[in-house]
Amino acid sequence: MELKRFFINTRHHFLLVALLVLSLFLISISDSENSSRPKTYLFGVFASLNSVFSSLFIPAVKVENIDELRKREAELMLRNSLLRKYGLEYRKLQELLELKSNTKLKLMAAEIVAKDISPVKSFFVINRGEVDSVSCGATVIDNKGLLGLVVSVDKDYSIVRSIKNGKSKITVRIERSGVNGVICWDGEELIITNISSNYDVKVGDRVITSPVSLRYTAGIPVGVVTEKIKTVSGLLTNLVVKPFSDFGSARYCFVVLNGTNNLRKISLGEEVE
Amino acid sequence: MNKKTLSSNIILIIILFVLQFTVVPLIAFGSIEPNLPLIFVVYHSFRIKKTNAILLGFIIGIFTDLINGGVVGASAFSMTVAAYVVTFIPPGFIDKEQFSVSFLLTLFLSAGAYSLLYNLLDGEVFVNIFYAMFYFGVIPSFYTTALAVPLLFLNSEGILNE
Repeated sequence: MELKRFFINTRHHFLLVALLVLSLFLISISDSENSSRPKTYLFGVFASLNSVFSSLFIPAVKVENIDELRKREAELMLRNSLLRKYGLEYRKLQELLELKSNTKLKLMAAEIVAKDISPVKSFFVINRGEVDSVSCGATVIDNKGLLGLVVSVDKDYSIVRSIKNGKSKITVRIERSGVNGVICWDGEELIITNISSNYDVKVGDRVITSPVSLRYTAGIPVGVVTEKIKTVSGLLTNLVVKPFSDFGSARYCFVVLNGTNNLRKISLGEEVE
Repeated sequence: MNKKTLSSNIILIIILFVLQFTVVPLIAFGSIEPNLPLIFVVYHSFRIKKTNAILLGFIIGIFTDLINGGVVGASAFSMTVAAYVVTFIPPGFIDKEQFSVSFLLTLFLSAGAYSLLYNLLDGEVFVNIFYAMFYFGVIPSFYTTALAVPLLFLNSEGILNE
């Protein structure tokens, strides 16, 4: 009897708990396909009801006019987007032109027409080839720094091996102290490996292509040292380098035609370049 | 509750829902808007049994979930708790026939609980709990309560009881 009275007095608490559990269960299955069906149906029914009432509150404007304005708005949005794109492209081209006028190297402007952005072996194709005097081994740069090396030349197109390619082993130099090293891509970062810990290298040092490089034109900016990692023995240090050029977003580039090393035959082997 | 009252209440709640999704967004301040179905729930929760009040909160909540396209169950949970808050009010606190400031106070508490829980369950990010209580709890409940003030006048004129 007491239990019954207790239940009657507290039944709203039990109901509350049951309904809250049910609500939580509904939340957990909220995204499932089965729950979306009644939701879609009711949503549709209510939307039609809503539209009838909405027409009472929205000022009387011809539907055709609204549609026309919406269409116009969409067209303007697309045009705005296109103009923005042109604006950015114009700025990039202007920067490239400035670079071309400030250097003694003979540069051939090219457009990147295709990219293979594999994390380990990235290549890209440029729209300049033999007819434009591009040869195997030519250094490819953009307005910020080194992009890669021409490894294969066709009549109108050339394939460029990006510096973010596991096979790129470039001899570089720390600009401030003149320390030489070999930079390579480990799939995630550019790393100058096995530099003696006694050498004068600091985080923030600029890295450029070295004059002792066999294939790359000397003095081209590569990147900046962002981290020094000592090896287990502590005698050697690996330097993490952040490249100046953003290979992912680059659309235009220059081929260095009169670089000192660009006439050598390139093999796709593992030797240091 | 006879059939006539039930049908009139159903029509009333449909109208409130329509107003909630058509007119209320026009008077909203950003994401802060009054909640008309909640006023309905709190208003009726005083007049019916506790279990029925909680059930009413759940039903209105689930209906809100299905209509607004949000997370199904979030509003049901919050509205159930809001109705439960009303059942917590001692019987002598509010005169059922003469709604007064005590009704508004109860509505304020319920609306605060509803708004805070709903935003929490609907995926809002609470950076600071005090800020969240103020922004998602106090302000919307204040707005909802302010919108319920005319009810007092309508009630004092006897219109609601007709």
